[in-house]
Amino acid sequence: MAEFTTVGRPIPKLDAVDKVTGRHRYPLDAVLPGMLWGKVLRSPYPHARIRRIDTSGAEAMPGVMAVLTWRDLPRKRVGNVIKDQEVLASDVVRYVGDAVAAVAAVDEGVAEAACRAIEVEYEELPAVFEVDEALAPGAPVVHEDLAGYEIRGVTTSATIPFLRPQGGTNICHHFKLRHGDVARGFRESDHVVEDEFSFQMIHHAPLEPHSSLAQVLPSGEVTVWSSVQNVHRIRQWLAEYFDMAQSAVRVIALKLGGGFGGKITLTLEPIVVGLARKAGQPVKIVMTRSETFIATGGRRPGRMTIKTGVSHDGRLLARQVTILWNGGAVSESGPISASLTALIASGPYRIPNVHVDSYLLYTNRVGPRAFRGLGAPQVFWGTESHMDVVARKLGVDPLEFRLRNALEEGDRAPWGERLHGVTLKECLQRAAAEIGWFDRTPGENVGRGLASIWKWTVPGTLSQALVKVHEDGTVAVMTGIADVGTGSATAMAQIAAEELGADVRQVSVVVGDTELTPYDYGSTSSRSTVHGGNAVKEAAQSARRQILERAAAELGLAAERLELRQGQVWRPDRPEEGIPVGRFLQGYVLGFGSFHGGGQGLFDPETGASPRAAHEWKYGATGAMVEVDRETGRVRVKRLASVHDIGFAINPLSVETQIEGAVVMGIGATFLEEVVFDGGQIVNPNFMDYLLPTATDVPDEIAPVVIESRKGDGPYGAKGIGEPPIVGVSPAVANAIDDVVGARIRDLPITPERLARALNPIPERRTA
Amino acid sequence: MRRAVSFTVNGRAVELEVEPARPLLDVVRDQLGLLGARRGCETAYCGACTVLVDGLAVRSCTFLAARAAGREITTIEGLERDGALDPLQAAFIEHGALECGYCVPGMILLARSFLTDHPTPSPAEIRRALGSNLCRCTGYLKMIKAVEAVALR
Repeated sequence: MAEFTTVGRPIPKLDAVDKVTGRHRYPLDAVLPGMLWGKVLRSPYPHARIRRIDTSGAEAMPGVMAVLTWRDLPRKRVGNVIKDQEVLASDVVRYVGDAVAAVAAVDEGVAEAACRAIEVEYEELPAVFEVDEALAPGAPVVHEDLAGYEIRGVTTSATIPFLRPQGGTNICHHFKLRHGDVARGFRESDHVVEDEFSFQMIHHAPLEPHSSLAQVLPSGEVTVWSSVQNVHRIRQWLAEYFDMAQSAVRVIALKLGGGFGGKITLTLEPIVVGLARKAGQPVKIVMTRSETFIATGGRRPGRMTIKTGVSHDGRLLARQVTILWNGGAVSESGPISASLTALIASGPYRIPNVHVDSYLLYTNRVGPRAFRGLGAPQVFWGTESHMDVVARKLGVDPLEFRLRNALEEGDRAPWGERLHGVTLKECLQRAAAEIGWFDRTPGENVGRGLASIWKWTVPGTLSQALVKVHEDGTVAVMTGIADVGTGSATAMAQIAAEELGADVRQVSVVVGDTELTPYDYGSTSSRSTVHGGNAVKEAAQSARRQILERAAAELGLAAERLELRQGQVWRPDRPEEGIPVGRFLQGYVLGFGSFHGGGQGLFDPETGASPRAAHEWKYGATGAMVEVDRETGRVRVKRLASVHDIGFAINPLSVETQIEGAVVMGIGATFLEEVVFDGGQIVNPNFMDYLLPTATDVPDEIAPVVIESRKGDGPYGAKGIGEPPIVGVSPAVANAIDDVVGARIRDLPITPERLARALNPIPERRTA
Repeated sequence: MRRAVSFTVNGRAVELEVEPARPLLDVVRDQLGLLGARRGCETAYCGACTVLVDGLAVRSCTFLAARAAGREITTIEGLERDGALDPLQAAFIEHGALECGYCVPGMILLARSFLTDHPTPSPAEIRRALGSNLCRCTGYLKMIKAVEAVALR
């Protein structure tokens, strides 16, 4: 008999029919009777003092029901970690797109016209845009009151002690990792190689734009329908901001139209609540596409230097990395990202001496947000490109170089944590084999490149779940996880079905509603299936136990001798006929499950040491095979292998789609995508000028390879898969390009122009 | 200034008072309640709003409602025949060619229009055709395979 009946099977998503027929409803589709439409007025200046806001013209316009400014809102700031953002600016705007006022009106057109009628008098202030400008002595300071800002420990229970906003400067956070003696390591090295890499901002671009609808009841109770990945934290933050009981705030996110990290932060929610309160009617705001760029930014850009000391036989002896993150004006998840990326910056290798400084800097640009991988893809762009640079300098095979230094089971990481389930070497070997690494022939016109993958899951977070079994044997799972499109709801149904012996089609899943579903930290950090899955498994087991105990009492048999299958209880002495569970139940059986992922994220402020910095670590490898047109710089990715130890694939079909989707997003970040700034202004905030990958940009072949070590902390040994596949794409591709044409690109994106210029340097023309 | 416009939606004749400068997308969503046409970029680039006008894929976010007069509009809600899914809808499910699903109605209607014109396309032609709509989740390969499977049938 097979080990499992339902998990491990590649079943289509349970909501697939609704999605292909257009019946599925997204948060953006929510409407209420008497609903008004809102618009937000945003700052056109990157840094300015607000001298005066005159809303009288807007308020007098027919059809305008409410105009909102900071005067109508609590005198507070919000923020995921550091509270550095006003919902509507009172005094100073800090980026182009900073919200200044909002209008609720009978339709979108009137609301937009009313926004234009609001007069705001600004006094422009000097601004900083790039990381060097932010660090320069005497630079304009983005947040003058930074030292007094409140820091919360909500993301993990213990982020506060090591966070270091430096008042009077633009340094939001400086994370230090110190291991061994890096100076001595370099002295004892046979070769020392120094490099510098940069990475651009890319936009999340979920096809469903950010959208929020708020209803305020006469009692003051608030319901918000919003496109967010973390309903419970959004509720907590909203309640805190408005000084309301959490029980008086309900946040609902139906399955959303993509998130990728861009929908985990209070954004439109406090604005629609403020407008709905003032207007006395429900208010909905849907961002325009250019607004999603201007107001929500994208992946955190920056620059890093990396210096490596290595012995003549290819052993890593010392590595020093400095990362400068351009954190924009709003730090959002930046402090967490800057800290955890510092941990992985030296790569998943045994290195006795490591020294990392990761600086999160404030500038007058839109604050970047969490983005699939939370900084790991950017840092690995540098580290894994640099690995090949060092290997080539030594004349060592890049695979061999990685294998010689790779972390192994039970090794200690540079911050002191002992690592388990380390399958990096196996992943690298598989990735190499998948792209024909061992069958290379001299002179062929194909380049091959590899990159290691290493990714944490955020420590110390909670998932809870309820599983109901009804009298007719059908099952309902209630989970706070918002299904962002990954198929997590289907995975939850499979887990419940497995534990209850049910057919997966008998399981319905309720997601993302703070009133109906128990607490969940949110769909981030590749944690949904692991954390949520463990909670669902426990809840289903509890429901199963309760049913069998009731049946046992009635039948006069021991519960452990009974079996639950297909909504029926089976007794050993009558294997031919099951008894419907309804015979033993009045009402339904309710099972509860809870899973708190370990790890604390508590770091020594001087060394970064931590006994368990993450809930768990994920290992993988990317292999790329490319052809390059030397004249035009155009790259064709012939095959891309994405190898992951995912522990156990609950739904192999969803796992494949997650890998393929993340790989193509990585292809976009590698070749096409860049949010381009002119000073503080985004010049390409639309899908015409911002290039997203289309079906024609996809590699000829993607090979998603899953290694099932069963070593994960999730149900049946599963690990998360949402983020790791994007981590290695850019460096693997760059390494493959260098392999075939001998050109090392150190700045993303690798546009044809950039590569062509590297391949065909134009001699400086002399001018008279 | 609203004016009456008559057209056919998913096989049913309708007459609506529309603002002529309103995009068809707004009329389809707000006046007809057909929410399968999605609002994605308002600039005719992402294709999430794709509908068929006389069988041809059109971005309804920039197609003015007045131009629909006398034409036959098909939205994703009208693709099923006698309660059975269109082969493309079935193939998208079977191949797992969807994640969040926001782009899927547009992608399926685009493919339907393409296959009507090109009953026996090459794989490269399928890639090029699907290349005019955006998907941010799936990486496209499963969509390409789903369309290939239907084209080969």
